Amino acid sequence: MKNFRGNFVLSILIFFIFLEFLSRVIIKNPLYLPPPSSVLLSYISLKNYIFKDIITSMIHFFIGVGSACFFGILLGIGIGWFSKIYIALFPILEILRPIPPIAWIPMAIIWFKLTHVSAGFIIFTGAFFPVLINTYTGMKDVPKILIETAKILGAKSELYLIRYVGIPYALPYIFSGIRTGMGVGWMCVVAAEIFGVSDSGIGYRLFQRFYHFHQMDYAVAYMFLLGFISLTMDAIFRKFVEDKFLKWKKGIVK
Amino acid sequence: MKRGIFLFLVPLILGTNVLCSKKEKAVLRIGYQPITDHLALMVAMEKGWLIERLRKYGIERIELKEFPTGPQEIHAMMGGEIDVVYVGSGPVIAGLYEGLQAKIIAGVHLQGYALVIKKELAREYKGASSLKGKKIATYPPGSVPHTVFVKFLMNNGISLEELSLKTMGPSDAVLAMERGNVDGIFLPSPYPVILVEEGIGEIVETSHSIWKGHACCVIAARNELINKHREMLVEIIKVHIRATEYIKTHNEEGVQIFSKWTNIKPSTIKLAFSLLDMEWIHNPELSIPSILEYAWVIYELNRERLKSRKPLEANDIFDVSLYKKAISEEF
Amino acid sequence: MKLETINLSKTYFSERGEVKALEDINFEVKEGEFLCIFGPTGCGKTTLLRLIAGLEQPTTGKILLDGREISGTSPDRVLIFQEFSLFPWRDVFKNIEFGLEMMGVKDRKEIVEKYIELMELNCFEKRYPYELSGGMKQKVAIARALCMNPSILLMDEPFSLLDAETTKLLHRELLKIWEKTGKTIIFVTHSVEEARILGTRIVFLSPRPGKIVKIEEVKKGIRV
Repeated sequence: MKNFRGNFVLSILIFFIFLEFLSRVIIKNPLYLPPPSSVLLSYISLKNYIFKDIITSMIHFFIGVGSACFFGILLGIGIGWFSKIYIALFPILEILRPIPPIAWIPMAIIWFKLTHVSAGFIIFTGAFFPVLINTYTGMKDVPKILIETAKILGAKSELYLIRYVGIPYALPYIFSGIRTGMGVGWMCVVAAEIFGVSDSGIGYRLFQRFYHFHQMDYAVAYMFLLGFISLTMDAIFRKFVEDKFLKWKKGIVK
Repeated sequence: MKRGIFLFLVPLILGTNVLCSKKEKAVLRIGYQPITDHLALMVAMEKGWLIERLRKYGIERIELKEFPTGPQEIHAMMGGEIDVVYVGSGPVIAGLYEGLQAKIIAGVHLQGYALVIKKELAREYKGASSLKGKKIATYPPGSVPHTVFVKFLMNNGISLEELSLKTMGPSDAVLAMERGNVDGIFLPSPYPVILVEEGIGEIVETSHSIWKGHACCVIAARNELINKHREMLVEIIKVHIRATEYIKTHNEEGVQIFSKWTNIKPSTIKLAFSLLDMEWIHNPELSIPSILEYAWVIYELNRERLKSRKPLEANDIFDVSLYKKAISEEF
Repeated sequence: MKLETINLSKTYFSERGEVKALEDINFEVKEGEFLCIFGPTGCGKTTLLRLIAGLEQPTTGKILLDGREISGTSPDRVLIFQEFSLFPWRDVFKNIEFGLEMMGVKDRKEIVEKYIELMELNCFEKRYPYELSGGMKQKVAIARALCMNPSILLMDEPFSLLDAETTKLLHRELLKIWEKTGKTIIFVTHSVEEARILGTRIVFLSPRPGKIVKIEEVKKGIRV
C-alpha cells in the first residue's frame, strides 16, 4: 500500500513537470496551455475570492442536492413500493429524466428569477434522478421473504413494512444514489451559475470573470478546484455516512 | 506519448497559422455585435463595398461572425477564429493584458449607452448613490459598458459591493428587466430604448452625462495582418470611412439596414437614434484618451494579477499609421 | 389449543391455466404435538404451511384455531422459512427482538436474553447475519419466533440448506427445545428419516394435487 501511494505522487509529479515543459518551452502560449506552476500560484492570487466563491457554490449545491434527496427519496419509496404510484408517476419521470440540466435554465429563471434558488434548481435537476432511480430500485428489490417474515412477526401496516424492512434494506441503494446525485449535481454548479443568478461562486467566477478577461490560468485553477471539492465531498460522504450505516453490507458485497 | 504531443500541437498549429497562404487568399473572417455602433460594417456589407474592394487581394469570401458581447468576440479572436473585429475598445484592452496579438487600427463609435431604471425607481433617482442596493445588469467584465459603469461608480465613491451588478448579454439583460429580475440596465444602443418603448423603464443617465465623448467601438486587426497585409487593411479602413460618412447622410437607410440585420423594429431604432447620443467616427485618435482610461480601470480591476506590469500605453494599443494612410488616399 | 383444517384446498389460477396444489385436506393438531408433514417435491406441503401461517388464502375450506377461523398472518402462528430470513442490517439481538418491537413491547431485553440463552447464542448477540454460519442463522430465526410465544411454530424444511452434521446437531437442539417449551410444532420435510426422528405424528401427502395419503403415529422411544 505504501508503494502505491508513493507511485501516485511520483506519477503526478512527472505529469506536472511534463506539462510545465510543454507549456513553457514548446507551446509558449499561456492561453492554450497555462503552465502548471502559474495555475498553482493562481490559488494564492485568488485568495480574496476563493473562499467566498466556494461558500456560494456550496450553498447552491446544498439547496439543489438537499431538495433532490428529499423529493427523490420520498418519490422513490412511493414508486418502488406501491405499484399504483409507479404506474401513475413513472412514465412522466422517465420522460423528464433525459433532459439535460442546462436545458432547464430558461425555465429556472422564469420560475425562480435570478436567485440562489434558481441556481439550486439546476443542480436539483441533475441530482434528483440518480437519487430517485436508486431509491426506487432498492425498494423494488426488497426480498419477499423479509417482508413476509416481518408481516408474520407482527408488522401489520404498509408503513411499518416500509419503515422497518423496506428502507433499511434499500439504504445502500439510497446512499449510492445520493453519492451519484452529489457527483452529477456538482457538475451542474457551473451551468447553474453562468446566467447571472449570483455574484459569486466558482462557476460564476470562471465564466463571468476569467473567461471574459481571458485569464486561462485562473480558469484552469478553478477547474481543478471543482474537481478537488467533488473528490473531497465524495470521500467524506463515504467515510462518515456510508461506512457507518452500512457495516452489514460488507458480508453481502464482498 | 508522441501521439499525445502531436494531438496537442495540431490545434495550436491550426490556431496560430490560420492565415496560411492558401487560406488567407480565400476567406476573411470579421467579427461584430448586433448593436447600432457596428452599423458601418452592416452598411458596407449590404452595399457590397468590402468584397468589391478586397477581391484584388485574393479574398473570395467574407465570413461574418456575430457575438453577443465584446469579451466573447475577443476570446474567439485569441483562439484564432477571426481576423478583423468591430468590437468595444474595452475587450481589446482586456485581451492585450492577456496576450492578444492585435492592435486598434480605426475608430468606430463614441458614446451611445444609457442607464435605464424601473419607472417606479426612476422618479427618485438622484445620481449614482441611488443605485446602492439595487440590481443592475450590464455587459460582462472587460467590456466597455462594464468598464464605463464601474468608472461611473468609482467617480461617485461607490464600491462594487454596494450594489448587485449582474453581467450578461444584451437580450438576457432586456429579458431580465422585463421580468423584474433586475432594477436597471446599462447597455449599448438600441437596447435601452426597447425598455423605454415598452414602458418598463426610463433613461436616467446617458453616455453624455456619465462620461462625455467616451470611446466605444473600434476596429482591431491581428498583428499578423498588420505586418503582412497592410494594403488590405488600409482598403478595409477606406471602406469603413465611406460607410461611416454614408450613415451620417442616409439615416433612414441606416435604420432599415440595421432592422434587416437584427429584426429590431425600425421605430425602435429611430427612437434610439434620437434619444441616445451616439456618434459614428473613424479616426482612432479621437478615442485615445478614454481608451487609456479603460486601460487603467481594467488594470485596477485585475491589480493582484497585473501588479508586476504597468498599465498599457498608447503604442501597446494603437497603430494609427494605417488610418493615416487610408484618410490621405482617394477612395 | 387445537388447530383444524376442514376441507382445505388451494388452486392457483394463471394465464397458463389452473394448478391444483392441495385437495381435501382434513386433519387436526393438538397441543404439544410435533407434527411432521412429508411428501415429494411439488406436493403442496409448503403451500399448506403458508395457508396455516396466513400468507395465502384457501380456495375452499377453512382453518380453525381453537374454533375460530384464522385470517391473515399473526405472531401466534410463526413460520420459519427454508431460506435464511434474518434481517441483514440487524445484529442477532436486534433480529430476535424484531417481533416484540413490532408488537410494541417495551421491556424486551429480558425476553430476548432468555431465548438467546435457550438457543445457546450467548456470545453472538452483536454479530451480524453475514458473520454467522447457516446453522446459527436458523437458530436465530427460531429464537426470534419463540420470543413471540406463538401457539404454533411452523417450520418449512428449515435445515434442508445445511450440511448433514449441522442438521444432526440442530435436530437434537430442536427436540430439546420442544421438550423444554412444550410448543406445538408443524414441521415440513421431504425426508422420511427426518420426519421419523423428530415427529410424534406424520402426515403423508401425495404428489400434486396434494391429498392426505395416511397419517402415522410415531412410536414413542424412537429417538436419536
